[in-house]
Amino acid sequence: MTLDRRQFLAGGTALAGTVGLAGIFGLSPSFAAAPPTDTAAALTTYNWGTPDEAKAYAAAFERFKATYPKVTVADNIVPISSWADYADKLVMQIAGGNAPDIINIAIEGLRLSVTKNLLLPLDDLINADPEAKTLVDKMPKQLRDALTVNGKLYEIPNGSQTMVIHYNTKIFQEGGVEPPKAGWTWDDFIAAAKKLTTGDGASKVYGFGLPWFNFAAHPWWLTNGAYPVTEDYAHSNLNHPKMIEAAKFIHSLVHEHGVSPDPIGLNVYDQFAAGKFAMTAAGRWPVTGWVASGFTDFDVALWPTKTTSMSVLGGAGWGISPQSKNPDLAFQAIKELISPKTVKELVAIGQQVPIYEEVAQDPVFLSAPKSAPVIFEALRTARSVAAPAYFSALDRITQRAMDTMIANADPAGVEAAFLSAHQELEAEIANQ
Amino acid sequence: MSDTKARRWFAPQNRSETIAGLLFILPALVGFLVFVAGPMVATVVLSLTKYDLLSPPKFIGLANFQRLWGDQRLWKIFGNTGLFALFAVLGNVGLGIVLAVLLNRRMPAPLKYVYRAAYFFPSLVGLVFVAVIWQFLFQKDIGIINFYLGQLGVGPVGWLSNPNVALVSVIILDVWKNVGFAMLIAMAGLQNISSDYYDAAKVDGASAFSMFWRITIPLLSPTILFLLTMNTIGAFKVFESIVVLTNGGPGDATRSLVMYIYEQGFKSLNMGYASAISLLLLAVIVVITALQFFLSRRWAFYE
Repeated sequence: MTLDRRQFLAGGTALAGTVGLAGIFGLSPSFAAAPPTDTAAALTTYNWGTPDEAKAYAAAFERFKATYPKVTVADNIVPISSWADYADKLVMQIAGGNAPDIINIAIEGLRLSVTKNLLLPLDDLINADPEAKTLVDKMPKQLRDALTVNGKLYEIPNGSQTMVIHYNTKIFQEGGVEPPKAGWTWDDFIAAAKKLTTGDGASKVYGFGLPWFNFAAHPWWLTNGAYPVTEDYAHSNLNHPKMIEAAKFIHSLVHEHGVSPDPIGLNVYDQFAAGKFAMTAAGRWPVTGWVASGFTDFDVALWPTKTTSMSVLGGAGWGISPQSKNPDLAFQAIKELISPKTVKELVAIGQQVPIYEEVAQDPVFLSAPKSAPVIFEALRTARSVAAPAYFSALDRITQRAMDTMIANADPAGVEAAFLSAHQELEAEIANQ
Repeated sequence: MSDTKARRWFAPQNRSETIAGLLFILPALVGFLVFVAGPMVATVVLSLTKYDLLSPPKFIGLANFQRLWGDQRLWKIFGNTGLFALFAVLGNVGLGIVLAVLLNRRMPAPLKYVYRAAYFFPSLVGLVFVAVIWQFLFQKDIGIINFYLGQLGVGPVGWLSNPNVALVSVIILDVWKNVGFAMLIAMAGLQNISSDYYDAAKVDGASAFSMFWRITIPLLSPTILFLLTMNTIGAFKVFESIVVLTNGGPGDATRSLVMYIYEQGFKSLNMGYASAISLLLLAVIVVITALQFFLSRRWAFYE
């Protein structure tokens, strides 16, 4: 069964018990701000995605072109190694005088883009278009807030990620350990990881495969009530005692409890699928690959709690460049990109957590793992990844601090690494 | 160029040849101006500015160069690059020559081709794929190298996570990847050495080592100088070998100067400061290369 945008809107409004909205907002195909359908123009994008996602975007642009046959869209899929790199490349491209019309950029690049005036506020365009407004209003508030700066929405969400614990159901069962339950704590996590760290040499199984990148570390900070930057994003918070406490906990997984192998140079997701770890942490992105390779003995649980029950929220959205000559037309293309049909196609590919609850209830999303709704549920209590305008500096300085601390078996080195990182980041902020 | 010569070039009977000659060198000249000379001039100019790529550059005089001296990360990274250059060049050139000499001996031709291909093969494989494999080999707790070291009773080595060892891992990868190319160049050099020298030495009862030291090395010295120069310049510009294996970590333990230039220029958007570091790197390479050529007068032997 496939939903088109209007069917989805109708279904969604019915679910919400607000059938009257359709009449109030006029959900007929009336594009108040839409340019004439015979407009001739060329749109370009700055986009990312897998080849399958590129096909879904191409299909969306074809649907857009059915309405606007004289518009061409050059969808430029940029290779991505990290969000910081992706945002840096966008800055380079625009500095080179080649601003795209439509920009797909993650939360991590949002504030830099806004600071450098690379994105147009979209509120007026959305408010002038009831259909778009209804779609945007359906998206989780946390996601919209994460893409809002100073009260203005600069990107319309197109997908999201969070971090949950993935656990090997077979290893848990064979180890006689109960699967994680909602509300479990760091202590429960350590107890389970210790019990499930078994064997020796080639047959060794570790309790937890520690993913080693900034986004994956966030839930440890957040569940300890810490955040890498101050509330106003103006300063580093890497020296905060709660941050250092959480970093020491991560350090202890490797050096004190021995439940995680040294994470540097380790592909945790391949090793998890190979049955070398009882648990690891990820969003939805590795699930499809695991299932395709025949690994299905896994399920998910919310992140264990220390002081706060929380996870991290990532995601990306569609924005429009202020230099675009056709912002209205770009907005119409974006509407097709956030249509339920496109979102469902993207979710079926398997990377993204859907931006609509209705799609999260679809069998495609629920097919794996068994507790797939937990992944969507985690978004509701998630806090946005720390993404100030100096994200690139924060990302690499934090990663260096983490590398330094894990390379040193002495826990005293954790504090030294984070205090040094704090000073370096403050200097970097001052220099900007 | 004298006026007479210039007049001769543009004399009516020579003009078409001169124009044809200029047209022939035009692509190379344009390429040089656009991709080498232009960026070099721009680097010098930008090094005197504060420039974030999105706002107009602001002239700040020599402030970027003054900042160089107080930048502790830069000197740590400078040290990494120097150490990498020293050991990677020694490894690539030294081992390349040894392998070339070993393969230059009489042996069945098929065997020679197999060895030659085996040593050269890593140079043909994409570095990113190679790095993924080496990361797995080097992994501390589940890596293959440490597994076998463990069988010998040697404790796990943090090949990628120990700041004192990570640079060694990078050098191992670099030598494994590039030694085959040095070997090929050295083999080409060896094949230019006349066998008469060795025949005469044998008649005089010279040992194999003596022939290597007194004939092979002196007659191979121009090739060695070439290898040293090219490998040194390449080593100071090292970027991708490190990015794909350690990304400069842990901390800054394996970060190279070019990685730092990239970080400053394209991540921190300090294009002025990145330009100043680039000029520093240029100066270092020029001095070392000049030194190599100067010292080579004492040991490079041309027949």
